[in-house]
Amino acid sequence: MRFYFALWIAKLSLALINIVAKGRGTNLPGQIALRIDPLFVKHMKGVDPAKAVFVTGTNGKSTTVNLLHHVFTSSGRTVCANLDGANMLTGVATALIKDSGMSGRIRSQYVIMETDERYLRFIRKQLPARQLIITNIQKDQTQRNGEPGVIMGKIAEALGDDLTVFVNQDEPRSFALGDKAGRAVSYAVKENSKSYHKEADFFSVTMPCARCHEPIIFRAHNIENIGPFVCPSCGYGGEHEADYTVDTVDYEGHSFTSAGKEYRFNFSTPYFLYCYISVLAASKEMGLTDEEISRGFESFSDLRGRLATKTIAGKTLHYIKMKQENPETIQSSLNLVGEDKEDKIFLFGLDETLDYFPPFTNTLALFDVDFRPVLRSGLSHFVCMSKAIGRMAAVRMLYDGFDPEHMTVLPSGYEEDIVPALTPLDDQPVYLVEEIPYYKKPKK
Amino acid sequence: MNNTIFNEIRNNTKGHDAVLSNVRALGLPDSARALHILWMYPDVLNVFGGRGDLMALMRVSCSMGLPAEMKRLDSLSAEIPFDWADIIYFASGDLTCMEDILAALEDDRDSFRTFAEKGGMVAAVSSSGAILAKEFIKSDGTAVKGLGLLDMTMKERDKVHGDDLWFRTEDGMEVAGNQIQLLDVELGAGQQPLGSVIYGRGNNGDGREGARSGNVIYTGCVGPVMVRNPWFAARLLEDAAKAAGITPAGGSFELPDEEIEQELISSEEAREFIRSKIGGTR
Repeated sequence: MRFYFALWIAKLSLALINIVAKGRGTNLPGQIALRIDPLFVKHMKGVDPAKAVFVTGTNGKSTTVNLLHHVFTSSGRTVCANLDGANMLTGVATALIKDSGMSGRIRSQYVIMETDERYLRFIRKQLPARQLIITNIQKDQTQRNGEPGVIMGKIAEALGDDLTVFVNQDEPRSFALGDKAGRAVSYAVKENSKSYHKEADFFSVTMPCARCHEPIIFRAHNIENIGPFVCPSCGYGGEHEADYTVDTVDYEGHSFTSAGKEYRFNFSTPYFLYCYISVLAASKEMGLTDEEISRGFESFSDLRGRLATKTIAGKTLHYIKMKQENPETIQSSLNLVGEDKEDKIFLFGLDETLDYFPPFTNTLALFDVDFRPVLRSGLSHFVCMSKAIGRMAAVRMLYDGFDPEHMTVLPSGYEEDIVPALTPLDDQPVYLVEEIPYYKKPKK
Repeated sequence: MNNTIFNEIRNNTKGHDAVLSNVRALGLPDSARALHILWMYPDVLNVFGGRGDLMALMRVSCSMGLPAEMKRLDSLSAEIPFDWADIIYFASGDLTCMEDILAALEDDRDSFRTFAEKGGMVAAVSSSGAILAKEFIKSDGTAVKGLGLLDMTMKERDKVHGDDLWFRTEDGMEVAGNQIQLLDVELGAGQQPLGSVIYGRGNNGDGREGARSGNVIYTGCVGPVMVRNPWFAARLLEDAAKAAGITPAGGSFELPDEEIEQELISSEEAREFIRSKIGGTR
């Protein structure tokens, strides 16, 4: 009875939210339901764990869930999913509430959920999905995650013999988690035209082997810290070919091949290849045909871009979104800026971490990344922004050899601070790498 | 000047087996006695931009006119050149690596003790402090024996603590950065802390931060700590140089303020932010 009461109250709250602000309410109904019935998700009816897929990891969860959902629905299957990214237990509960009738039975055949890596173990206790895609495990949100090993441990707690885990064979941490599940299906991307090798700089570093903790070696990077790797000490990473691989990529022609079949790929950055190959693996293992998957890939396009262009101070500004606590996305952004070999102005927005309590002057990722791809590509001026820690980005640039005469530190990234700084500079393209596009926001 | 020399030697030193040296760049003869810095397990102890500490040590050495050489020790199975090193530096690393590192160092316990007793500097940051501790206790209750160079015990926390950390060393130097703490630190009765906390949690909220016995040092401050506080790096370099018998021609190794102008301003900006938290405006 408690379950029904929770369900109906949650549905009522959902109806009210839809009247006030349609499209909102991605967590609150679930929150209410779980407050009344802490095992609410477990009590939902009609969920078949064999037809449930979770997606977790540091980066790529949302794109992977959206692509997987698209492939399944475009082949005529019905899916309950949290496409809005509400990936805690409350978000999962809300998605199930939306998909169910008054009896608490979900209408869809399949459940596909993005799950926060810290809370996966709690979610899976109530909804024991039999499939889990792990995208990657990287440094991120240190205030909550601490070190990547913490996240590996938390994900590992959710694994068991009843689970098929889809692991990224090119990502050393998440690949190791395959050992802890009943069945592991691996996916990988072969070296391609956008893969790169790092110079053997004295200060270059990789990461510890997830099995023996000796240093691993990347034979190539398809994206930052993801690519074919091996541990010279114990052989980890180099033992087998992955179960599913992207064999060749034609970025201009927007296609890739896997196991001799060609698939449409509506992107030009390697990052998305991992989403595609993991979805290909999960879809095939769950019984979809090549034709169904191919049709889904053909019609999929990304929902949210990381790139945008506008004009500022009479100059063309290219905005590249980063996650400032995740060194890999910062480095990918820096590499992207570095691809333009013309002289340019570079704006870097590093802000104090304000998302969680307490706020702090987080500068931890700065020395995990290398700014030299930007410096060497033709950089005429560097602008860094923020009140408390922007100047540390300037210090970082000094370490990488940039002339301090060509640096400006601004108190914020608001347009009214940026424009006067940019106006006297030469007419060159401007690149802005930042987590939140402050230039879109009014100054408080 | 520091930037020019640092970048010159960095750009001219390729590969992980090379020795990074500022001796020639400082205009000194090859025979000049340099301070030898050993960077322990760079790929393994690699969180929170820990390599920045090593970059800072070399860059600050350049600013101080202090001849310095740096080597990497990449593999856990590699032999530690105790006879060569003056500073053995463990940058911040993932806690999950500590057991394997300590297992690899098991046969070197006595060598570490002898090294420290002779005045050699051993420094560890954040979770890597577990290497220098008497023991660290994992969340499942398992105790792992450390090198015991510091009389401290570390215990894995249920929840990560992340915030700013600002402390004053025993000799009055202020150091500020971040703290991402996975291990609470309990000092033994006779163990001196590295400093006292001005803002933040420090060892375990008891107002003390880090630990220091002679030239064996642990701090939970990251950021990287040596980048954000080059004056602290300079102090450690000076102490290590003194222990190694490296003396400057002019009397003392100084870090001129104009060499760290940006860091000085940056530090004040960060402290202003922290003050706003203390004052309750943030």
